[in-house]
Amino acid sequence: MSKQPPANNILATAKFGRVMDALQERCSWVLAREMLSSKNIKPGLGWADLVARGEKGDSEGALISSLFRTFFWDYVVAGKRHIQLYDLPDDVWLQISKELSTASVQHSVFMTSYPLPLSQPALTTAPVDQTLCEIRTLPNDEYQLVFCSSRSFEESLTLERKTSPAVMAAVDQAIPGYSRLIAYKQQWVQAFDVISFRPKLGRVEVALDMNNRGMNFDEEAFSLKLLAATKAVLPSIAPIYTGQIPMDLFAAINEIYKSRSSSELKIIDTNFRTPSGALNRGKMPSAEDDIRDEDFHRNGVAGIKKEIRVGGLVVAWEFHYPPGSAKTKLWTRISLAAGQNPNLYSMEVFDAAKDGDISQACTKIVKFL
Amino acid sequence: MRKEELLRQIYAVWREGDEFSLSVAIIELIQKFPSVRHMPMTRFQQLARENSLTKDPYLSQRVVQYLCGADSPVLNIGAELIEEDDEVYQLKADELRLAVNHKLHPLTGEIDETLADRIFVYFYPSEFIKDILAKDAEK
Amino acid sequence: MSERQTLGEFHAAMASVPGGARFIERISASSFEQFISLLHEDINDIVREMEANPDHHQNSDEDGLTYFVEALLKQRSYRASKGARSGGSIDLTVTGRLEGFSWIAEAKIFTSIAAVREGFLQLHTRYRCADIEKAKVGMLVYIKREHPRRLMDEWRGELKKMDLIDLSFLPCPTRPQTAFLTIHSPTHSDIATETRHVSVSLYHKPLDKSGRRAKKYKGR
Repeated sequence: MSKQPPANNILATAKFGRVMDALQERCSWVLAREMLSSKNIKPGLGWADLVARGEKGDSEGALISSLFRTFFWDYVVAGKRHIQLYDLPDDVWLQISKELSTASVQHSVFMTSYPLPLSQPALTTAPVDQTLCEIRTLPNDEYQLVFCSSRSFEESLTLERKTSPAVMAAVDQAIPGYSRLIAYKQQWVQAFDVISFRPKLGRVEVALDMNNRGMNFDEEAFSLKLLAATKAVLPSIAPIYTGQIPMDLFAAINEIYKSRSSSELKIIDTNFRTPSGALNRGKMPSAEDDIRDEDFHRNGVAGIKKEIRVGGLVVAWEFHYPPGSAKTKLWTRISLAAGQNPNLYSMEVFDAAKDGDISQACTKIVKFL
Repeated sequence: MRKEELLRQIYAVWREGDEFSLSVAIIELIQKFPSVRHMPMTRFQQLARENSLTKDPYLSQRVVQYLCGADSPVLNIGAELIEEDDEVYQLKADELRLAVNHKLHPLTGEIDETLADRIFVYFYPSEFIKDILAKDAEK
Repeated sequence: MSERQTLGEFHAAMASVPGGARFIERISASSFEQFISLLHEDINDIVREMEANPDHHQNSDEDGLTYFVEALLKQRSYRASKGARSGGSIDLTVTGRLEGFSWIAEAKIFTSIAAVREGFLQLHTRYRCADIEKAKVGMLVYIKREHPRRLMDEWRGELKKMDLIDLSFLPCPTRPQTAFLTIHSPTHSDIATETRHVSVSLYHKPLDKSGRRAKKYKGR
């Protein structure tokens, strides 16, 4: 359960349209609809319609505006994440907690609009290194540090004669004989990377933001950068990542596959190898169906006496208490899965609406280790 | 309701028309493959050909409209959005309605003029027909 | 056609069958208002089909005509039953796949104002909708005589004389020339109930030479 944003937070006073523009960049409409349905509010006709309703001065508008400002606050640390897990020894936590009590956020360009992202022009000159923007206190003695950074990616556009005759005519003049032009544009997004300390669960979560479309980066390098940025604030974290490697999650893959399908856990995608060497993929289009119950898959697995080596799976989780949902992807490359001692040091969590969903997803995975 | 009663009910609507014959063929297909979950329209057109039914190109459409209805709810309609990356998203009933009437993309929440080209319709048996055929199997 | 049919292709093909253009809307209707709006459009289609072929219905009695409507509604994804009980023997009860959406109607051949009046009174004093909070009902008035509009105007006039509580008239947005709406509060519920009065013109007396000579048209 996340706290409400502080009353003087930019989020509380910003124009609703701006909040929703920022949310739309990072969040799927599916989650937004689920949020509305959970409060018995009609989803209407998409983001534009929702913004118009939220900007109205009536009671529904006020409700929508308040709901989504809180949702945005929760979503800053959730959504789609690349996660590494580290053990958190009690003695290390003792030192970190002391440092946390005196840690503070320094001013940076991000703070001029946090938690809303900076505009595109501002992002072109904003820091690319992770910069501390918030220290969140959570229930159960947990803490989160939120780091912002500017990341860029190339967005491409393909132009052809049929759809862009004027442009292609100009291309023909300049460089005759080409039938297609691919143009690239640099786009900038603001990443909200999170490091979470969960002492009662004995772990640290390093969660990189993967919410913006087009985000593509070296997760390994950025995870280390995030830990290094955290060390600048909390020096006692050093032993966490210098003295250990992230939790190896590989064993959880086969343990989850062997478990019973239930309302809480559905495997919706998997890659596996049979004893005869065939590489297979099994995927269900709906998160309500478990691939293990599908006739073709089940009969095939039974036919080889269940001797499959699972190299990856995507699980749709439905948490009963506290209620929530998320999906986890633990996926190895076939070349690694087939090796003698395969390992997997990270996973993806996605479709998580709030921190509690991320935390529960991680806890579920760890239980299978 | 038992299978014979259902067939009588369907006959009462279509009488000797090919619609009745195709409805029976669909029910028997479901009976033969009880775990079938994905039947595109082309499967019904193939059934019509296999049963030497009329060359009316819209026979399957009339039958599907009836079998998805309240009188003899044998079929449910499903729809999948398949984007360029081959990711499949199954639309819920109201998402399908919004996609048809407003071109609202269920994932982006934006109006998408070409959305209908990436949504694919299929049909699957209802709990109603599964119960009826299960009773029939007990006989 | 490829194995997979896109929604666009499916919708275009469905539009080629009666009622098919509204198929997806109909089976995914999630509110009573949607259900009613679609049902009215479908009934309009059925009425148009009957009016386009009045010669097919000359020998049908009230039951026969209503059975025809019932069958066409079933083909359009509804459950429709003629003579289903709802406090009495209602002429037509129509429901969708979702629970709780139902519409009842009384059907009468316009033999006289008194006959139509009796049908209206049966509808509003004998029968009950499944949910009186969603009270929208219908009158189907089959007219095998000339000048159907004049007859419907007479019927309007008769309604005004009937001491109905809080009676008001509204135009029918989809068939303004041949249908109208009334709203009144029946004494059994005191809840404003909308009745859609739809005329179905089935007068058929061809005036060409063979029509004038044909025995079956004599006396019409």
